[in-house]
Amino acid sequence: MFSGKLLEKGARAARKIALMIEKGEEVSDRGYQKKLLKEILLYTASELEKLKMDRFKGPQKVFVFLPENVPVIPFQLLTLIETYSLEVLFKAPSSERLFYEILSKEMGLNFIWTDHEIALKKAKEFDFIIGFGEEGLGKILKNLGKPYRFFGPKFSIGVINGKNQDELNKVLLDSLSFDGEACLSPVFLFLRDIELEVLWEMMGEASRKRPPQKSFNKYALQYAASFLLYYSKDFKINKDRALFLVDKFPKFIPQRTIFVVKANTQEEILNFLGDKAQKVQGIITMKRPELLFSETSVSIVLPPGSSQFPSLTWFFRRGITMENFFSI
Amino acid sequence: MELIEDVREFILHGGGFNPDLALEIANYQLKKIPLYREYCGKLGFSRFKNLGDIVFFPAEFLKYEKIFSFRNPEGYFLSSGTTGNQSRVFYNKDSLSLYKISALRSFPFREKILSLIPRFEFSPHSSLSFMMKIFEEKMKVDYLNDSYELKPENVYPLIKDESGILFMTSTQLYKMAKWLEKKGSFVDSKFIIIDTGGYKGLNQKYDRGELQRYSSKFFPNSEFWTEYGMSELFSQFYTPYQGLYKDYPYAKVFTEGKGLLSIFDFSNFCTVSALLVPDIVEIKKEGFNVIGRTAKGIKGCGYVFR
Repeated sequence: MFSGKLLEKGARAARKIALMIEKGEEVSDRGYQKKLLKEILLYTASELEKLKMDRFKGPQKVFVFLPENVPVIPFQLLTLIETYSLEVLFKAPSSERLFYEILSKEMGLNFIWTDHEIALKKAKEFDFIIGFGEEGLGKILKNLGKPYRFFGPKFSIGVINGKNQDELNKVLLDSLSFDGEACLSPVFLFLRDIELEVLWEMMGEASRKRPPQKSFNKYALQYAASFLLYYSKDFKINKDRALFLVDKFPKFIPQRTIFVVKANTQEEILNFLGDKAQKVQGIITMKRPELLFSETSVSIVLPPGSSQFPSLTWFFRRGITMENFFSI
Repeated sequence: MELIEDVREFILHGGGFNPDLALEIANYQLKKIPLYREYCGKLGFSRFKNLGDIVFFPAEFLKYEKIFSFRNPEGYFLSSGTTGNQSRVFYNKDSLSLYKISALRSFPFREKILSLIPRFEFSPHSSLSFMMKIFEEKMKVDYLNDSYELKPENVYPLIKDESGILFMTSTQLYKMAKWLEKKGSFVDSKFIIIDTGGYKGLNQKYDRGELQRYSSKFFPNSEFWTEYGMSELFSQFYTPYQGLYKDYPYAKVFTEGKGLLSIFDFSNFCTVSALLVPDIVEIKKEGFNVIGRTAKGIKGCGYVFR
């Protein structure tokens, strides 16, 4: 067991960027929510400082396609990089340069910004590919002839006691984290005993704490919400958030949108999710819902308020561990 | 006189936007299209009393629902599907007749057309191909291509000594220019090149100005125009590349400032005239500018609609 140099470097970098945010410096082009990002970075730093790693053998050179919705994937992969002594090249999204340039400078990680075609050519030179993103990327990686792991679109759900104000306030913050685009931001809240009007007010408060990112597209929300309202039982919409009461899975999920489902037994929830149960990433709840855990693709259960703070040894899908990550 | 006759007459000869007729059309559609009625009901409208009441209906519905005010559709157009699911726009004889008169009135040219858009017979669900068929009635249209795929080496000999209007999609224009660049050649003839948009088949979207600057090197004597249209809207808009689109008395833009395109198209009489389109436009004194599409479809790690 050891605590690696890269982890120490990562912890220092995370603290430094958190400090930059505190000083009011810009650290991202997409304008990720500053308070949230700072909290995640401080959490990451303290976790990295505690971790003790084993050494494993695996691939040497790994290529990573990063998503654009969240910036902290490189931190989440640090333990892998250190444990396997990996040489990693990250293909960063074109919409985010600044944050990854800082990571490059502070941690010596390597990033490239190119179009997908060039990135794919480059990726072929590596032993293993890790991809985060849309289904299209998954299909491409499948045909690339290289060992890979692909983490496609997933969403999270909250199973909440509607009478507990504290739980509700926290889960609403989770929902609006990264404008609801993070796979651990719960977009469906399963609860009873609450009026939509009351929840909308509370969402307004959460929205002030998790304001829209620079990358938020108010027109896309306006358009999508104008359409989705037809399929809802009730709705509340304004320029930077939307809330729908639904009893059917929506046609799509816009940014900064929460769908409330008046269900709270696990059977009812499974019934609502249907085949989308295999797209669930995390469950935000106070107690472990056994049936949901076994019947969905959920890989992590977190309490309200901590959806963006998973363990640094959580690898995005159930059953994937440090030890078996590269065993396909 | 039936309402459709009034609409036809207005599209043919109408001078300024007619709010009373627009209101009558919207209420007719409210009565005839249950889904539109239900949708407006959710927003608190069972009938439109004033122009300001009219609810703009998201074009997205055409991807998921059957939207038309007549009994028996005779066919349908499919949208290009560059942003996810395709819209299915059902038509009948009446709706096509409105399409026709609007398309002919909107089109600013009467010269011979060289079309890289395939014949309607080869692409029976393409509204663009149908538009070309309409143009045949007033202009000579030579089809140079049997599909939306483009083989520049086949097209080049057919256009190099010609002139007139060259109609093509953005993808075709890009491919043609790319091929000419590779060949170290250019097309000397003088064309009015009309780019219809559409980036399907390309891995990235190009800015219109960028595409025009690039393409103009290989068509040095040509003038570049752009067409704004979609299967869901039966009227089309044209402008020189650097210009602004102007709306018509029969297809009026209601967006204010910068925002989603809200348009009232009289030629959509048989579907829904008041349409909310996922394109961001900017309204200026002289016309409107299309900034880009807002909805990219379901994608990304967050499973979102952006």
